[in-house]
Amino acid sequence: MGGTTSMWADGQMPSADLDPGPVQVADAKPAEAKAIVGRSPGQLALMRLRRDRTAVVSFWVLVFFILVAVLAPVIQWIYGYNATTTNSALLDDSGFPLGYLGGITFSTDNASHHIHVFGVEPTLGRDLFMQVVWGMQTSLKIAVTATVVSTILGVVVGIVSAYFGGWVDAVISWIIDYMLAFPFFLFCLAVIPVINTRLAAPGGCHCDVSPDKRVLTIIIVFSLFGWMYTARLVRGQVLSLREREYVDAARAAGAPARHILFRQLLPNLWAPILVSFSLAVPATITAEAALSFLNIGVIEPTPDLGRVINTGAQFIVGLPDPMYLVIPGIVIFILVLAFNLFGDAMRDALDPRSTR
Amino acid sequence: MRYRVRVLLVSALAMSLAIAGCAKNTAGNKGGGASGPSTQSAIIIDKEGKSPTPAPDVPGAKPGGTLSWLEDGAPEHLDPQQMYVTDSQSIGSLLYRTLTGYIEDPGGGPLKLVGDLATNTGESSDSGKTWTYHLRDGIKFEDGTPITSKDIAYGISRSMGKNGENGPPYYKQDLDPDSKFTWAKGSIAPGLETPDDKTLVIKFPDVHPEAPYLAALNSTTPIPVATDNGQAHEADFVASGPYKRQGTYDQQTKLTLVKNSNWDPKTDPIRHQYADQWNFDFTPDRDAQTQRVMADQGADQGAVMTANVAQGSIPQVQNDAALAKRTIKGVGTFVDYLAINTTRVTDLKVRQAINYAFDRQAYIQAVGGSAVALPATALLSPTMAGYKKYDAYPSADGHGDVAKAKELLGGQTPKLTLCEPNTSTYQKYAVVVKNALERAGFQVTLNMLDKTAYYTTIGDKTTTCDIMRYGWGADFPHPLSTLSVLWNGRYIKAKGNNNVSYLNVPELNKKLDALEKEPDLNKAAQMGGELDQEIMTKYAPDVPNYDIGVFLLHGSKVGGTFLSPLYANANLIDAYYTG
Repeated sequence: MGGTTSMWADGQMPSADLDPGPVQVADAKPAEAKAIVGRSPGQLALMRLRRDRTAVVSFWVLVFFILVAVLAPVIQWIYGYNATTTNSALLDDSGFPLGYLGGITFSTDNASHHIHVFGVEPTLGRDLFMQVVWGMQTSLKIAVTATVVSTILGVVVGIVSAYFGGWVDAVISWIIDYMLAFPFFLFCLAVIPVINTRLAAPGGCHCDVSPDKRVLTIIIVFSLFGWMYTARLVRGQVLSLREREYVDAARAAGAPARHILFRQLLPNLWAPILVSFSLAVPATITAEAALSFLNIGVIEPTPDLGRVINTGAQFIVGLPDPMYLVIPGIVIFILVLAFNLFGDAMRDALDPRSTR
Repeated sequence: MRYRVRVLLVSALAMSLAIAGCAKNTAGNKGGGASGPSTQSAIIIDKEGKSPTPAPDVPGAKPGGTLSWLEDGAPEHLDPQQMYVTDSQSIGSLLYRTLTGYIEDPGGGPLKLVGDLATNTGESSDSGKTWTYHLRDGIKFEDGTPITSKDIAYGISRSMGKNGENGPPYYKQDLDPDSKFTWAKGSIAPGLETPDDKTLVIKFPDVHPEAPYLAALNSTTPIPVATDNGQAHEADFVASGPYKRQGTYDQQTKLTLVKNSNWDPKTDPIRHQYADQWNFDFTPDRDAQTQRVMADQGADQGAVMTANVAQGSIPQVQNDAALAKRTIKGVGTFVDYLAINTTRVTDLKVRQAINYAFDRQAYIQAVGGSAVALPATALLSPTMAGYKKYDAYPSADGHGDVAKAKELLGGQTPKLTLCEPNTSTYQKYAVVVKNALERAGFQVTLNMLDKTAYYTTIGDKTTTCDIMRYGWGADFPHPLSTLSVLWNGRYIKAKGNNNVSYLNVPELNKKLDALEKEPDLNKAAQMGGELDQEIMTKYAPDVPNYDIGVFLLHGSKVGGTFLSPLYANANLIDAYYTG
């Protein structure tokens, strides 16, 4: 990290308070081709990323999934069928989809008069494709929001802890250790129903807790329990950075702590933060799916990828409808794999000398 | 009576995807499930004690061999005074005798209530307040000591104390309505008199024509005071029936029963003692039970299941002639309802519209099809004496009559809160109900309640739920055990209600009171069938969903067994090993 950060720091030191930074300076000279081009560390990393085929493929897969999630209403409009319509006429007497492979059909010659490219859900007869599309939106919304919040929390706590040191560091480190010692799922099992009850009308009368409130609960709990890893990482980085000359220089020049923390130190921390962020998102997606297994996740009628997989698992035994698990399973597998591969590639690109 | 719910269990992912998903599903198994009777004839009460002893042999039965019972988890209680759940009651049928008892008909005919330890179903005097029982000669506990009326009186008293608090509440309510009696070891409750060792007199403060049914509850299992070891009785019990415990019982994994040589068939009009041994295995879950009994290897040839055949294997069992022969199927005792809170949904027309809009067929498909759920349109279970089949809110195809519902609503779009326990299964059911009602213009909000607090929440009179999923299994075949408990407004209290539709109509309450006091049990059964229809037609306090269906398998070497209408399990006392 040392070389990269000091280069970055050197480049930024004089212009710390002035935009444009070094990136814009480099962009300003593409016309002077063939000359020796000075590249910022960011550009170098981007170049390495572009050369890495895994990174490129996983990046486009991620873009695809994010587009699907964001454009879910558009996809629904094009597809012409929504996620919530139940149709028991697509099922046999025992509630299993009629036809092949869990009701996959590309013809409109059926009870719903519509194609079902992923088949239909057993027991309810909803379209599985739309369930997956909207479910991805829910899953990504929760995972990305929770990860952003927990990363911001983690970065702030980490920087403050390491920079001030002393008793502040001791107390914060103790809190981090304390939080890390909590068994996460056990805590979720205890806390989520309690928060849901509190969110209900005052008096805790078990009244309506709307699906949106439940999603909010999950985001809050994930944020509260996801920041420690980032905080530790950032704290370690800052500990090694805070004795650098440029920090000393800033301190000697009389810069306030806030300036040093967020203007001098933070720009040198982007690499590890980005890597930990991109690896935390898939972890959160799978954790959110696991919540559904414990019945404390997102509830009907909000579509959710994790819940689809949870119910799908019930249709594996005896193999009445394996496609109900296989299709959403493959989707979440690809999504998480793409995030992980991209996170790994980004770490390699930002810090080529690190070993896995 | 509480019911051991046959839930969909999530088991390990056996990822052998092979061919299964690739075959075309053409709904070939339609209608392969059980069908319920259209009416249930009234019950036979053996008042004179004419039932022959020993019980007539089961045709083809032979003694010997070992039979086994597979269940997912041990029953909570085997202490007879604590038994209230169907699985323990089935096991109890081999272990314990009671004052009266039922003979179940393998052909699905009416139940017959006979004297078990008593010579008949009881002689009433004082217009139904006092009931006298004379005991048979030669009845003994497993250690050879004779069973006396004092042992039965103590058993009933014990059921009113802390060792009976999980059992049926009837004797406590009826003998001691003002809760004056405090049980202590050895004490006998007021109203129980034993003039001699062979006579038991039960004096209720009120009229109780249903006393012969109460006498068949496990509360009346005799307990010698000396053997009452309190909590330890769950594992260390004294048998009076044809089988007794062998070795110690760990209350978790297994129980072995062997023949009780002190049980004399000449004293028992109900039970048989064919198999040498019964092994109860409390470890296999639904999928394991299905796989083991379908495979039919070794000891499993003599096994009976307790959980329904795994959802995914039902079509296979229905379409395989050899397996179909080994099924035990039919309608159980448990009815599933959607209760409509009549204090919040006060307009009868809206409640009727809910009934018309409900999509029963889709609901049954979501539950798992006609093998495990039979469409219910009446409030009483088809196994109840006096059951009458009717449909107050008919639709052509079972999917509801949306036009009729809209007409009743007349353009209103009522907002309803639907409450269900928060499990993945009930979430699915809630979606079915929501979508069905919204077809007619209702606006339905789902309120998934924490499942451990579910019954507390909806049983609170001030609940904000408009529609609630509820289920009920009758404790004995008298319609009061369903109708009065669930719809008599006199019993509504602040918390812990069973009447979760909170229906309180003075005119109906009066009719239900009359039902409770009717001295002729057969007439009472008939009244029950009529009242059932009247409640649904005039008040529509509930939507009957389905009668739970039983779909079990037994091993190829089990003979004589059939679906027990009382416990919705395999009948154990007629079962034998075919060798």
